Amino acid sequence: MARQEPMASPTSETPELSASSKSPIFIGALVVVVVIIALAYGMYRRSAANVQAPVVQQTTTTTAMGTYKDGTYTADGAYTVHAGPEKVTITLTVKDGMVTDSQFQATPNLPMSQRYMDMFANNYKALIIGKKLDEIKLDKVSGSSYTPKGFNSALEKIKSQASA
Amino acid sequence: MVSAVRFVFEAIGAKWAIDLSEPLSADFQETLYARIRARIDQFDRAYSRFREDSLLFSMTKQAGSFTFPSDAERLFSLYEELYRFTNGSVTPLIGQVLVDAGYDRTYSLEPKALSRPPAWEEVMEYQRPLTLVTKRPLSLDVGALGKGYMIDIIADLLLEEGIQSFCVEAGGDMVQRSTIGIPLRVGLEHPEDPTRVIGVATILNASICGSAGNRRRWKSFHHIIDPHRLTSPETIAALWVVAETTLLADAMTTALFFTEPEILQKQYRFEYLILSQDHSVRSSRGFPAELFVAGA
Repeated sequence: MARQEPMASPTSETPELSASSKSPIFIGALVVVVVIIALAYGMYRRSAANVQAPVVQQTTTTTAMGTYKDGTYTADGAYTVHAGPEKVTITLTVKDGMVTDSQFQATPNLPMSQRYMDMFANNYKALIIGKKLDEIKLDKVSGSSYTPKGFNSALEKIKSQASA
Repeated sequence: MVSAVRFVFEAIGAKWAIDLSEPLSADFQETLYARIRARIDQFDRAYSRFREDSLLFSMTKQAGSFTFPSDAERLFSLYEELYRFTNGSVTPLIGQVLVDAGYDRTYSLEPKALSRPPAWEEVMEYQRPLTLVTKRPLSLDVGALGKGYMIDIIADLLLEEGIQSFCVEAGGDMVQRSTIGIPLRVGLEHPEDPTRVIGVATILNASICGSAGNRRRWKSFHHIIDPHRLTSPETIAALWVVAETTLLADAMTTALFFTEPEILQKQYRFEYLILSQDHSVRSSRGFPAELFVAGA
């Protein structure tokens, strides 16, 4: 996983690990990433800009799990916001080197944190990462491929006019 | 998918790929291909708003009574029903709006001022089974259902010819039939990156249609325009529908841009998957796909 410095200074403590699996493995790094995402999401919401959330696509999480044994892992992540410490708990199920399920549990101290944690919990799970076409075997692809030739050439024309 | 015969060609502005599982004699293959092309052309001559010799185009010139070929009943009756069911959001009268927005016969892509399309009952009457009676010249567009229906018609043609295992695809929408139960794996194209898929749907003896706002896009519009708001819906990045017919699957991909899936499911049987602009996913329980999502 690429080293990623925390954006603010939220990840001071080492997460405590209480794995319920046969093979407890240190997944602090992963939890740190998740916490960063949670905070980034919160900050993004606060700034209320009408843009895509910045850090959310963490494809590295799954690849980083490549060497881990099957099982369920639970870890706490602690961070400090301006009004005090906060803690989140994440549970991951790993099978064949892939994260197959995850649970996010929020235990906020501050009412404001509750809101951000809820928003994160509602959104983090179903973030599409996709796969490269050549990684999988397919018969067909379906999407927006219905684009008449005439349409595309007209569009190109307009673009070149606009840039002329 | 094992394909013994494959027809690839371009028609109605889309790339077609027709795969047949069983081999055919060279002669029969040639006859069949000619029949397919002729059938598509026949459909196009009735329902295209992009060609001047179409029946639909003649409706833009004068009011009157227009009788369509025998395939019109399924098309118009579903349109009429959907019009009511979606409070006018799915309407063939969107034709004029598309033209004004620049999606016209010459693809000018130069938007003019838009006005809301007229109410169906004010300007025309559908007289079952095949006739539209109009009170004034009208620009109709049957794009929401037309391609899906065309695919079904070609599938029916194959069945008539005794061909039972095949896939008929036009521009990412398709129907599949397999008498020996071999499913079709269909990649769901990532709307922001055509080299990626967000998941794989597996269909067997069913149809799948997709729609996304990313490709046919110009100025502030894409290929779907809300007739009430006169803007293109932007919360959905892409969506897919699996149904028993391609006609219905195609119809639902448009309707879902306007109407809640739960409401449509009261009336129609289909499975759906909606990918929002924020990359969250919403789908029916029975949508037959494996998704590639982070952390799930």
